[in-house]
Amino acid sequence: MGGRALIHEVVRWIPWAVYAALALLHARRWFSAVPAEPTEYRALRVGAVGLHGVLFLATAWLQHRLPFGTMWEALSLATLVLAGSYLLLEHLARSSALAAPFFTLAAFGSGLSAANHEPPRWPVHVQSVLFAAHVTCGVAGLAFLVAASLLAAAWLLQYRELRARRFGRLSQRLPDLATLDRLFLAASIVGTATLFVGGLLGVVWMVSQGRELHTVLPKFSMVLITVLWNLVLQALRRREAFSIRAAAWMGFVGIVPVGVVIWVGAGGY
Amino acid sequence: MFHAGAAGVSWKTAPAELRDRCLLPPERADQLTLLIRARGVREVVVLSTCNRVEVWTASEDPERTALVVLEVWSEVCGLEPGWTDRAFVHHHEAAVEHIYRVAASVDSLVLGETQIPSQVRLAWERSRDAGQCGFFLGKLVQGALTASKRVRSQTRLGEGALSVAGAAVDLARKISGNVERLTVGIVGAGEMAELALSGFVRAGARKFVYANRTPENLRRFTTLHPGRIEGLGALDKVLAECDVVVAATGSPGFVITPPLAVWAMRGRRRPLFLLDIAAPRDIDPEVARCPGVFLYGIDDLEQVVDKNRLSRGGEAQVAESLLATDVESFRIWWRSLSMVPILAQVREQVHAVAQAEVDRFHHRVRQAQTEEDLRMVLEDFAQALANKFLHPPTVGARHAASEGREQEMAAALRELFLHGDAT
Repeated sequence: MGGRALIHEVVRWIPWAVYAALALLHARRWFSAVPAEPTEYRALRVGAVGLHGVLFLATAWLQHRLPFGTMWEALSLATLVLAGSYLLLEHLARSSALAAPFFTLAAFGSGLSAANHEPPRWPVHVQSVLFAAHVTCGVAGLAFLVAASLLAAAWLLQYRELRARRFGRLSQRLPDLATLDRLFLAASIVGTATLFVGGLLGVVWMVSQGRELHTVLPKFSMVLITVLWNLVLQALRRREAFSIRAAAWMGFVGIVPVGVVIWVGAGGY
Repeated sequence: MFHAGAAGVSWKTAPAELRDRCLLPPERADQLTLLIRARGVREVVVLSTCNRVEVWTASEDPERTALVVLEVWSEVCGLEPGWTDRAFVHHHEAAVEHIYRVAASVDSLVLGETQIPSQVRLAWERSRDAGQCGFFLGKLVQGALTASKRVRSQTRLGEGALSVAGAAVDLARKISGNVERLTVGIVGAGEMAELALSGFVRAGARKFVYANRTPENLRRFTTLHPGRIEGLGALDKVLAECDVVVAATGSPGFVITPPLAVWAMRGRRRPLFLLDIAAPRDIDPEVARCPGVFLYGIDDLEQVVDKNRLSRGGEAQVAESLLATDVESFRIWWRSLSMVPILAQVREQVHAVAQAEVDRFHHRVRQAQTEEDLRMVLEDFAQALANKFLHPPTVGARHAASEGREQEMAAALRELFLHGDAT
């Protein structure tokens, strides 16, 4: 293995290592007796996401290609969006209680991406701006929908703790129900819209390439199901009579179609 | 010499009903003050809040003043005999200490509450503007307010939720987020309801609905924060409208039942936070099974309070020790007041002597032809003035020496004329 290849090998595992370290650090804090976190933790989180972004762009630039050459590399972008969206959510909720699950997921995503490293399979004509926009929107949408599912799970946990009159560590550290609900809805709306746009760009790209849609029917169907599921959820959520708890359950279950889309999508185009 | 006095009723000494009858809204406070001052009391400040109604005075005879205050108060508010058993009276240094503790909210029902300093300031300003309060109570109240600021800045007394009320607010935040946007319902007119109300007011809640079997008893709540008043018959509407409902009536049975809660939650998405702090309980425990309803009792709040209390440490003790220092400073100033009459007399006499000398030398100044003449006149004038001033202490010192008090007199002269310099 040449020196440059070795560097590339090491560099692609850096985001995984950083996210895993952050996940461990925040998981440990859950068990700490002091509820307030040290001020430098926030800088660490921002630094980790920034470093991932820089490495992602530098790799793409050094390899003279669009941000990603395979779906596994696109997964790395999705991880970046997920971690970035977490920083935004944390800022809006004024709570870093969900850092551990978000960074665990980010470590999982970036680890999968690094482990499945392979040479770019996409021919040059595929690497068009339209295709890159399609994949970027798609993975960003999926990342937001994963975030929405995590927030729904956090809402259900907080609800259970408060109803059971348990005011322990879990309840103290999770954000309040109203904030979780608001953020869940925001993540779901942004995720649905972005995924829909990503899907639409994919269809336009295929038509422009003269390809037939039935070749990607499983992925297309799952994206459609995911979008419809979330649209129904948002429509129901707006009705005053529909309980927030039911909406949270729907949001949590929504991780299933999102997971299938990721699984199907990561396998190829 | 002036002495401080404080008399009144507070949450520590009297139940809410009696405090209600003792309330002194502005017009009544003015009437009370005029009557008290007509009986020879020099300065009066009236403080009237939900948790305390107090009259602070400055007079030569604080014991007699306290009797006057209580007597006039009975007349003005039409209080029946025997109410004074629930009143407190402080004189002299105890009154000073009391006023400092009140202003610093160390004596408050909700320890570290932020409202009392502004209420004290308003009471004093009102009295001062009406000419009912002079330098003594002015100095006392200003000193107390400065001490209050110091306590607030140097301790964590005003932070977080130490009280049951604060815990209720914390829980409401966990469920509904921003308290400022919530509609808070207070059911009952007792002390606990008032305590919860003060917590939500402090936390910034703006919309309140008050409900009680006798709506007239909610008058004092509206002085703490404006709100709509309802009877218990409209409880269904109150539950449907509010995000938080605190129940603290004196009712022997359940006031909020499962059918009422189900009706309130029908077609509603917002959660409903119910807090039952009544004894016996006001809310049927079965209400907790209703989806979207979070029902808590006083025991649940105490769990939260205990967590907060542990993390707050001994802030109250730190506050008390800071106050002790400030009270001592006031005490020193107060003792210095005993010299005021004699100092005034001395100054008057010295000025009279100086004026007599000026009159005596006036014609010589007019006759002076040259600058040299004028200088001689001034020298004679200074000499004469010094002799006149020093004559009484010189005669007094010789007389003291003849009586064997020379050491004592020498020390006094040294202190007064040589600034304590022994040489």
